[in-house]
Amino acid sequence: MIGEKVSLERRVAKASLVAVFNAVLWVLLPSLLGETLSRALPSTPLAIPSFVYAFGAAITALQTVAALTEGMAVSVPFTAGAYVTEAYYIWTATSGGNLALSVSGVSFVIAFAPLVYLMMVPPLFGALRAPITFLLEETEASRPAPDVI
Amino acid sequence: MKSERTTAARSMRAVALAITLVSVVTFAAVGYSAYSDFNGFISNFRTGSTGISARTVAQGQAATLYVNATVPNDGLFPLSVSISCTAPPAGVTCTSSSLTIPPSTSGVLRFQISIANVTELQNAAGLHLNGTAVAGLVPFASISITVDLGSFLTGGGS
Repeated sequence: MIGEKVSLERRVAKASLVAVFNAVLWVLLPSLLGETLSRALPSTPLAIPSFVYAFGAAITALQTVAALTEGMAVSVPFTAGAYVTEAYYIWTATSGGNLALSVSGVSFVIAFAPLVYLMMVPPLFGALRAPITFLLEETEASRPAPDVI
Repeated sequence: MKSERTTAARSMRAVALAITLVSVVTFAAVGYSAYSDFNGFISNFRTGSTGISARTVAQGQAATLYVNATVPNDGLFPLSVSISCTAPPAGVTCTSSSLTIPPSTSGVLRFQISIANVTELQNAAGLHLNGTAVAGLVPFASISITVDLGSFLTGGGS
């Protein structure tokens, strides 16, 4: 919550956990998956390993800074930025829900755009949620407190 | 000291949780449905199964391949299946077939390829006929497989 007093120790501890979790989720796992798929299907151009490090590092950095600045207004753009990057990452990693593979002369086209949209909804909502919650809380905080009888 | 969250923050959190839950449930349902449909399709190839039958009828230089496939839908979503030829060469005709199978039922896909003169076609450039089969879990995902069907005819069907 914005304006909430959070100790430095707690921020650093949370940021460390967030950094490790995001590095595993957005860098390590996709990288391993990409390498496994590339080995299994050498004729298939899989884009995952080439951009996974840049996007994974960006998301991890944004989430970590957002955790370090928790309780401050400056955490809002970092949180929203991390979520937008996550959504774009999902879109790029899945080629917008259209994957074409070719194995031993047999072509496969897998289309799953609705599922990709479904995967993108939580991060996009998170990107909206951060500034909206901040604005609503600011409005509520600036409202005069009712008289206590 | 932990301060109280506002109603707005609590509401936004509840909506985020609901969105995540809906996504997880949908993915689980689609995964289960795809697994069930795949298992049902694979069972057609088991020994003694009459799920897929193909026969070639040759009359002189002409040949016709008839394929009938019984496709079960054991999943939770409607299953759309279709089979067609892509740009058949001259002297070859295909009948495309497509159907949407409701859950817990099965449908029969009938496909036919007719070749007016097999020898002429083989002498010209070999018989290369791309066939495309599409299976889709309506409305979430679909997979399209394109393969050269020429070998089925020239290699001899059952």
